[in-house]
Amino acid sequence: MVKKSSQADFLFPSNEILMKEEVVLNTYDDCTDYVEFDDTADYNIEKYRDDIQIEIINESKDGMTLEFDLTRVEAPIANALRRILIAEVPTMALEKIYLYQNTSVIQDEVLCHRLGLLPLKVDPRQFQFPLTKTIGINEQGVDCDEEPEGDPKRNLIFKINVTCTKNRNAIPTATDPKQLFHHSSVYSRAFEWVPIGEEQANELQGENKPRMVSPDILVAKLRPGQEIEASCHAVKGIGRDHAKFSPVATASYRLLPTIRLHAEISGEAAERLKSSFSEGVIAIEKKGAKKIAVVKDARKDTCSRNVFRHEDLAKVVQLGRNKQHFIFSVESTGALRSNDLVVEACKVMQLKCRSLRKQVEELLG
Amino acid sequence: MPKKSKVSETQKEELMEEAEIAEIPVKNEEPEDVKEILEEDEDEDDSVPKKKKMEILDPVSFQQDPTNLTLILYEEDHTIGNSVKHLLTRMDDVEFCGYNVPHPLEDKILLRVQTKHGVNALQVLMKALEDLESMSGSGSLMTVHVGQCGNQLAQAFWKSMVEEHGINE
Repeated sequence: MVKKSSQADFLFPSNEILMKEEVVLNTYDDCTDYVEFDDTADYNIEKYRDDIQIEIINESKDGMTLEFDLTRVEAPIANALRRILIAEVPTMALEKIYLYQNTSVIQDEVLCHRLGLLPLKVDPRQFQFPLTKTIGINEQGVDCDEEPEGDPKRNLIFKINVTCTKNRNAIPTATDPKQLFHHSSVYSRAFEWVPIGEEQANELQGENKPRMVSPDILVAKLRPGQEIEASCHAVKGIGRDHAKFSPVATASYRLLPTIRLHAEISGEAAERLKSSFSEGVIAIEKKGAKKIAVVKDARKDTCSRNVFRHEDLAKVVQLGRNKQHFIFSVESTGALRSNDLVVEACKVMQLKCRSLRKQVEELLG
Repeated sequence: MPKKSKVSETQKEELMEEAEIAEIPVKNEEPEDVKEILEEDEDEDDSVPKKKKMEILDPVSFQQDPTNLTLILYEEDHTIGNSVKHLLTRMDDVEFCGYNVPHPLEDKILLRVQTKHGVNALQVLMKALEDLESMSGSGSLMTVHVGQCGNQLAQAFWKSMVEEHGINE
């Protein structure tokens, strides 16, 4: 049963997006992005800045996934943080592959591309960016004749040398390549880090020892007689240059959903209301003899708006999303923990502003 | 969008003065098409990639009228464009501001700032960048603390991290 309240038109807060059946109202496209923009108030960055709040909601045990709430800012700032996380926080990745042997069926360039995408477990803050962005090529179209030594402050070298052989001890009836051959599959654990000089070897020890994030990534498949031998040089880079440098698997935000019930919904209607939302959003409570529906946890709502399919419920349920409440979710690829990434992203933003300011200063003379 | 100026008289005078100082007399030379400034930050943190160029579109007309500025920012995108625009719209001296990405294959953005009479647009932009830096970072006065998370967003972040884990600061 749906008992309507007397209010015909429900008031709606200006800091929320209003979700109707087919449209979304009260979005940003008004005259200003700012919520409750006060024309007469002074511009006060200190107050604005100090109002910003961050609250950690969830962090996985290994620290690789993180959910936090960023509140009292607008989308341009939240989006800048997200964009920086994806494209401008540096990590290390394999950039130059010196192939000495590749007799596998996978082509050289395809193999090298695959290797580049392997996530490395190295703290990029211990390294510097390469001195030259792109290495030039000579008349023959070759960019180097010999493998360079590598700079201990800028490079990491991983070596791989795998040959597939027949397993003589295999049972005659075996058909599985894993039983028939040795090294029929090349996994990322086959890479071995070779320190450049003693200094690098001393610096990166124990926990800091460079390795692959996961040892179980399938790199290639081999058959007896086939071989892969390569020396791989990693450099520091940013996701803007190539996605392999991106430190996050995902970095995204969504707005906090709000659900308002403008009537007492009970009985069968309450059950329908509950079932039209995600699990845990609506709870049914006892009120005297009646069982009424209450909003338990709007955060869990997926904003499917399924509730608007019920005519009676659509009239009394108002769905919205808080424009100033960003639910961030950051998933690291493994080089740094997610919370470090967020701090790094802030620093990147800071450095960007500083370098731009310097240039503006120069223009001002 | 019309905005009421709330700058007090003294502030206004200061701004006018600044604008006059910044106003460079127009030279009777051949007009340079673009004023290029290459950044060299030798003293900066070495981990920061050396890059970036910035130029004023039509510097001659900007010299004549420092309230109208179109700046080309190379190797920048929506990240800086949108957030700087966001702060600029809120500022009292700004009449109009916006940014655009001329072409997705060109790694640059155009940033347009128009200010109220007598206010140098570059100076307003400078303030916006300062504010953005202080929001995400420590601000110019606290550069010493870089690396110790002496900044707003990051600080707030750490604070809640610390609380979460019950660690004493």
